[in-house]
Amino acid sequence: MRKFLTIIFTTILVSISVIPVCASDGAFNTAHDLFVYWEENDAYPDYVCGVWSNDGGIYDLTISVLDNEVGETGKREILDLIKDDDSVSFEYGKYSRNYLIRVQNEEISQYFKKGVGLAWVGFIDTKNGLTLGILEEKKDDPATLEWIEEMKKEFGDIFYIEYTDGYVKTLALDDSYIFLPSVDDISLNLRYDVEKPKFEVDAFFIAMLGAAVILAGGILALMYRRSVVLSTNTGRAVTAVSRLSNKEIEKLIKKSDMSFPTQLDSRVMGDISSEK
Amino acid sequence: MDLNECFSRLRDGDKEAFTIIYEELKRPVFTVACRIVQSKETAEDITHDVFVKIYLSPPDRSVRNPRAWVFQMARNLAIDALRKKKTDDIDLVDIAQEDLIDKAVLSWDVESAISHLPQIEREIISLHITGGLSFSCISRITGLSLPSVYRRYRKALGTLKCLLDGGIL
Repeated sequence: MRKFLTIIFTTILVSISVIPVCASDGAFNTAHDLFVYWEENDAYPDYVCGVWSNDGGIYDLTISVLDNEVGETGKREILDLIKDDDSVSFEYGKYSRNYLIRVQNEEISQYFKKGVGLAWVGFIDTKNGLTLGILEEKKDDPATLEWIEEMKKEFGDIFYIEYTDGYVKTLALDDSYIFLPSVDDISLNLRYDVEKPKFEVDAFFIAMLGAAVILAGGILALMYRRSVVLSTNTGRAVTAVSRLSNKEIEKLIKKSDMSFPTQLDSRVMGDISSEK
Repeated sequence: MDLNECFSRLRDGDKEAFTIIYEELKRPVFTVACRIVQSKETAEDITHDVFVKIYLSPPDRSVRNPRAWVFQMARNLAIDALRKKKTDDIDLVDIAQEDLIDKAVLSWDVESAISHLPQIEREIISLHITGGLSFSCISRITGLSLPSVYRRYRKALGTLKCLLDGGIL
């Protein structure tokens, strides 16, 4: 039953993700409108490497796309989506923005306060990479240097190093998004009609149905979340449904220290006394 | 008196400081040894050897982290014992029966689950959670790279999650 539901909502999910991209020509007035859509819906396509403003405003953006066939297709797609082609220029990058954000949030962020000197990590559109904020005091620390090399080996040449004297609370610096205006600024200072993407009635209905299925699927997934297949020392695979968090596991292990054999006390103290 | 101070006093000949060190570390050292060698008898021998060594030759001033030094010694002795034993047999019964007396089922479940981990993961889990050592310490002790230690730790936690939640082998 779960497999069936998974297939259904995956199909719907794929259909929905295609809908905005297949929307009619000129669904967005400017590249900025498209950018706002991506930001608000966390819907950056994989072929986008970064977005930034050329003049600090919203009418002249650069979108960096992958330097390959996929990127070229994406570039054509973007131009189809926006009415004002003059509002965008293109550059090419090596790494998808989605890939870099995933590395930042899922891989690098694990290493905060783990003794490798990592104070912060930030995504930089214009450099198509991640900046690692390394504590100044750890600059020459062998463990830190080794960790940096390991990360480079694992994720490629995506890192830029900056040295810092403190930690910041947020994972990614706001400054890493060089593009400036907030949505409030737009509504107060600029007057233009933002045309929302047109949805056909049946597409909208599918979207609503898909959302309902996704919600149901999400609830099921939460209730029956699975662990990655792992192996034990006998080589056998472990698959199971797991509800314990890492912290709970650590607490359990900490509580379950072995009971100390009392005869060992006498043995150790006896030998110590004979050495006195 | 904290542990570092106790070691410092022990070096200066204060044998009373040894008692404090012993009471503080005997259980975690025994637990770590037990989890690595999977035998209570061998773990007792290892624990005995560790503390006799501490008493006779406390770590000198150049050792900045005496706690890590103790666990490194315990771990090395455990690895030596395993090499001599040359077997991966898991003595679950030995561990389980004794722990049934003390917080029975939970301990048995956790120890049983830990015993199913590969040796290196048992070491890392025990040294970090029971021994209280940082990952960079464990990296130095085991000779693994820091990211490798962390990856194996997360993998071990994942396996334990499955096993403790009624996972299937």
